[in-house]
Amino acid sequence: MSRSDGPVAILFKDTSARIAAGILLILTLVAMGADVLPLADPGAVDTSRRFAAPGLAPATMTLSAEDAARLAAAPGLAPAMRRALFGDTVIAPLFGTDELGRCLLSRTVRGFRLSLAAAAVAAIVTLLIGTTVGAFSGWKAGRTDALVMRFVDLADSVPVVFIVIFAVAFLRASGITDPSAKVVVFFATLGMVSWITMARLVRASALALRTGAFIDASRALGMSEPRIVFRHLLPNLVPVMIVALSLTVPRILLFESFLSFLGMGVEAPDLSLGTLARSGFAAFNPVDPRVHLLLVPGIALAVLLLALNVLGDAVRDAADPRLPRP
Amino acid sequence: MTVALEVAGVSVTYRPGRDDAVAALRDVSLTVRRGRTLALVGESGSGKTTLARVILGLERRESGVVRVDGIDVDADPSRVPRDVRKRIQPLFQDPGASLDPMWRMRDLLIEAMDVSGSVPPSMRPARIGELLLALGLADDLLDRRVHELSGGQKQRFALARALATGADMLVLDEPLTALDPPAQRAAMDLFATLKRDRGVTTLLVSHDLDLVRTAADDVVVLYRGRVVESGPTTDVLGTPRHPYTRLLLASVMPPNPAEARRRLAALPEDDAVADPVPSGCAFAPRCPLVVDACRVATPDPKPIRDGAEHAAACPVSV
Repeated sequence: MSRSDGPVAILFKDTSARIAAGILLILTLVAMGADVLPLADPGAVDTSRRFAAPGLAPATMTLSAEDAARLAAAPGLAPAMRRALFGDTVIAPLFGTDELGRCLLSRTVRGFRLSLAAAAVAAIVTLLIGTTVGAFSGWKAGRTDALVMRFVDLADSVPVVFIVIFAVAFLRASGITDPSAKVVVFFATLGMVSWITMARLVRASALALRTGAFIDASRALGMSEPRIVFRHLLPNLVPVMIVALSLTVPRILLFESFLSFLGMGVEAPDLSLGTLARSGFAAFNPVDPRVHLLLVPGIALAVLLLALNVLGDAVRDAADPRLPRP
Repeated sequence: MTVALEVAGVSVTYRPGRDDAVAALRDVSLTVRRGRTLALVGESGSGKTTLARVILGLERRESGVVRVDGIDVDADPSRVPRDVRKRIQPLFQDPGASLDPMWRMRDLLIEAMDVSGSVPPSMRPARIGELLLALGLADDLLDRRVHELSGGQKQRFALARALATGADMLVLDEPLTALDPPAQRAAMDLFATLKRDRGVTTLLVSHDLDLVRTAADDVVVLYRGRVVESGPTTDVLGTPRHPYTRLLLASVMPPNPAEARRRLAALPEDDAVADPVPSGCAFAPRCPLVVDACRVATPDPKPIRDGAEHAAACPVSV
């Protein structure tokens, strides 16, 4: 590998990173394009096929007349594209069906979409708030740092589960039934906790860097403070930012699933991997375990987390030019 | 001969805690003439590095004046004029750490020219080529980052960046400690060349007396933040007058082990407790020549003869 390879080139020389990035890309595209793909309506009940086991045959079916009419009437670009591309064809419930005969594949894709959105919100909040608070605190050091970090401690000591319960109860009491309002409150609560690890790690790193010789050298050259911060401090914080992100995003994904599993997060008709696991758990019984209802959302979550971890590791290594290259 | 760097009456006090005060520098004065090398020697904690940082405008001083080419260096580091910055540049003890690990060498050199405004963009490639030639660096190193360079190359790039600003004054802080012996040899030759060919004025901070003897025209000896002796290198290191300078010279290991042991046994221990602001001579607790007067009044440096450049702050030996 030549010395002049950029971080992106280094990243994609790593086979496991390529695979992880490919998986994440496909999953994201599927989640974002769910309305274009010929998936069954996640809410369509069919009691004639309750608890159907996963299977590959038949792979495709034709929409029922009722569903076809609904699709034909659906406004917007995505259903139009779907009609043009796939007509009345629909993918069969390859992952099996649930207690109401709803297609688990279609439901998993929708659940995945919401889980990914939660992770994206967490990542953005973490990057914006966590990096700003951490870098500011570490760079200023001294009393400012002590004050800011006590504030971070305070934010960290808020019992999030209770806040979520309060928020959900408050929404119920106030008669707000709009499911999207609940999702917004839920995401805002997730965002509240997600930035703290980032702030702590970035602050520690900035504190160590600010007294470093290359910052002194920058000052001696007469650079302005903004120039030093944006061109020398922040680029050196990128590796630790990636570490913090790769710690935070999977944690938030799990936390979202956990809360939804407990019934405190996403609620029907919205779907997340957590609510799917919850209904799989409810359908579980020793005589007829119907394990696919638990396994499908569980495996989806595991694949997502693994891909995120592998990619996070590789990105961190690629962003740090000091590491030896194989 | 014109004065390139002037330091007069500089004092710095560190306050690590609410009631602690450590006087790092007390009433330090010195001048460096254009094209000359002045060495600042003393043991760890003597204030050499603090003085270097004050001169570079990296450390706030309490009182005193610093002038670079006659321009006042503001006591507040954030207000030091850019005009001063591009005249005097540091070479840090660990040159590798002074180069941003994320940046390629070429970009670091261009940035130095950009920030100092020393070279217009169209002239930069030519100027970089000229600097590399002068410092004995190969062109293909420009695309490397600092971890891909050897110790000597790191130091040369740190020097190249310092010179890229157009600076003709350098502050070298222990410039040989990060290098292996062959690189030390090469670095000393390089400093000599810079001085001869470019007339670079140098403030050399070091406790390496061999380096000082070879490279410096003048010497200032610091002890606990005060100048105890100063003058031409041959005088100060050849016929030291202050008891501390003598002790410093005696601490250098002679090649003969028996002689080394004898000298070590004869050295007084440094058992003086860290006294925030001791009255009298700071060296008095360790001094073999101490008299009562030393503990009362702080001696000022005095010429050893009328009109001599060699001065020592010791009432007993001068």
